[in-house]
Amino acid sequence: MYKLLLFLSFSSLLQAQKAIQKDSIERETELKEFRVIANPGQKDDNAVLATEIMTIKTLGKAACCNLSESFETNASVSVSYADAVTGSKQIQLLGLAGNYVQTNVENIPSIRGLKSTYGLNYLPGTWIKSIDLAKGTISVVNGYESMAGAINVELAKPDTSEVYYLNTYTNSQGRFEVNQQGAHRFNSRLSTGVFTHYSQQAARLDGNGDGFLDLPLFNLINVLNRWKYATDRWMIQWGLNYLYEDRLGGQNGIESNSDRYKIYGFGSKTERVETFAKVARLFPDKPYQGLALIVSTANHANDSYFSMKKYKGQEQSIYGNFIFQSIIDNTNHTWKAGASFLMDSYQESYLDSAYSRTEVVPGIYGEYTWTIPNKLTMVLGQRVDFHNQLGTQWVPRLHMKWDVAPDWIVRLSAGKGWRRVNPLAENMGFLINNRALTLVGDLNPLEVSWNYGITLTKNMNIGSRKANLVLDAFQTDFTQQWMVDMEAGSRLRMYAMPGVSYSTSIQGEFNYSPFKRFEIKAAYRYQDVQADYLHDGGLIRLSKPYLNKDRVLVNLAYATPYEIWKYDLTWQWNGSRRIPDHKLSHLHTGAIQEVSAPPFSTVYAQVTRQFKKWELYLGVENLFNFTQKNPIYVAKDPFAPGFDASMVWGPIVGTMVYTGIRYKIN
Amino acid sequence: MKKILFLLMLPLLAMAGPKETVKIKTSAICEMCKERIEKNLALTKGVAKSDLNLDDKVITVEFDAAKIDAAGIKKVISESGYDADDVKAVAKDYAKLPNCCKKKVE
Repeated sequence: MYKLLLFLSFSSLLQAQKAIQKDSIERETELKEFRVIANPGQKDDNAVLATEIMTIKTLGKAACCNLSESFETNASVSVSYADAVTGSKQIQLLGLAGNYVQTNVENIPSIRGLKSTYGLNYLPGTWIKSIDLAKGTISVVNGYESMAGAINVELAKPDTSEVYYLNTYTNSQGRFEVNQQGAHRFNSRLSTGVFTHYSQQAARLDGNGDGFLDLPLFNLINVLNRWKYATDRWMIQWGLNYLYEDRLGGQNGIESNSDRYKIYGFGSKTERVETFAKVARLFPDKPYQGLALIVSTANHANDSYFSMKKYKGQEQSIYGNFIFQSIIDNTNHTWKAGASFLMDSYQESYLDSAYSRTEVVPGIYGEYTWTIPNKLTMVLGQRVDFHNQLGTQWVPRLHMKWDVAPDWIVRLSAGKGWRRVNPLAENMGFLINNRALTLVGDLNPLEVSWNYGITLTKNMNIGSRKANLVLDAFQTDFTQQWMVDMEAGSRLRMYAMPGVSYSTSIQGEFNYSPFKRFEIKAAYRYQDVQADYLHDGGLIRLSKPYLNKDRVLVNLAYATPYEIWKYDLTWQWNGSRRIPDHKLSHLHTGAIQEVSAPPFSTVYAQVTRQFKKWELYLGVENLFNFTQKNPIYVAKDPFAPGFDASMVWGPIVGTMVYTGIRYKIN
Repeated sequence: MKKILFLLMLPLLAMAGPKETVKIKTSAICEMCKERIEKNLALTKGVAKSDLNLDDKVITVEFDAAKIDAAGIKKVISESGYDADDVKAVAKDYAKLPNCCKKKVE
């Protein structure tokens, strides 16, 4: 803290000397903002992949605390609690879990491995500059793990950030949050930024009266120091991130670890240190050529208990990616080639078993891009990775963008993706029940899928105002998958996919600005996700539980001139969904009536008032106060058979009001 | 409920007494400059309306004389990085302008 203050006073002293170089980058960001205003719905029309871009402007519509809360106004991504105790949030895209979405931070694989349990909660919203969302597979340059899609988050850069930025957030559920950011430019080349985040869930909340805290108490500290050095020929960035989090949940009376044998308690402590470095060599006389090296390391430690059950996990990870880019003859033929390296070492223990493994994955790749200007762009990528445990994996990917007419764009994508499962870290929420965990048969932790997609984008004018329509369809077919089966009431079974497993997702989104500073977004999404489950020695085809087939999202945004007042309203309607029958004796058979959860709506609203140096926002979430009535089965007796906090399909907490400020010194 | 009422009331606070008008010559160059100056004025207490004409670079500002005067308005413009009649742009703020909003070196 002292260091930060010192740093800030130092930077204000030097402020007068600040060079006159709010240069091209600044202009670029401003132009981007203009482009966004001109293009409702924020689709990047130049990208080969259909990419949704969420800028600060979009993110500000729902004053979000962290990455998991950044998708409230997005039609493609759904966010839900993994269970009713840990407070962990998971996203879902194309009807598939967030584990199948490659989540990168500035093109460095970020939320994977043990971080996947709470990873989305670990990226503070104020650090985020923009989020790019692509469905299906992405470029092979970024690896092999994008199966349902990919998210790339760009954080605030030290050379374009405010000298000082303060953000506070408080809500009616007893959560508060302080974000402070400072940036300093030493000269035209070197700059640094310190980003700090502190948040706390201070109040014990049990809105549904089931004797369990609806949200765990937590303390989270997150600090990032990053540096940037940029010249015409070199761009070097490096940084260090430290995170500590402490969670305590379970029954109301829980005070500490030692109570956990008397009343149901959940505790989790996480400590994580990440470092990264990116070096890019540019060639000013050959702008099409480039060389880049990305290196990152992570050390993750988690210590958890779910009443009697104890879990411990440690991970050390090293990642490197070397990319070279050039052209063949002219810029209509560009290519990228490179090599990547991943080493992941895990030491985990659960109950009385210990698991440890070290994965070493060197890989090589090449990608060729063929462009017919203003007509067609085709990207063909190939990569081969040599996994020390899972063998050699080949990944082909194809992306195509066809400008059919000036206002019509068609995009096609096809490709393969694969990943290694982390059965415990990814299913932590499923441990909060009294089901017996059973591993069935020969379990291969490799998951492989093929994804095919088509996206149509139509830009148009309605009267003199802009509008656009985006229709997309994506199909994901698994050839190998790790199934988590909750269909038998007393058991949690995990086994290799015995039959088929697929997801079909179709979405239509319409963006329209009927008059100045007023924008409407309306979207409908259909998902059909099915898989074969083991049943009675045979197979039974079921829709995947907890996923709703239909979803509607409407977002209205209005701003007064110069955005002095901003109003935002989002309505989400989620159709009914199948849930596993929780009766203890139950085993799913085709004859039994399926159990389903009712459809529900949630409404979010926010008002922001801008002043000269600061902003004030006030908002409400879940306006109609819809909650899942009994998110925990047999909550009164958590040590009895049947207790289950992992059957969550809807909101756990009711209406919440929040407010906060954003204060900036430029 | 209280909070909703509070929100509804806030815009009313903006209403005020008799208006005066002043014309000020600025050093604005482009649309972005116009946006910047008008926005900063809009966020200033007492300023009701402003319109910058890029042809002659003159901004017409309607304001509430009880809350602000012409000198105050010029100060806001100079702190936005632009000259306002005889008041020169604040150097520090001028430096922050994007390139396209800076005066060409003569």
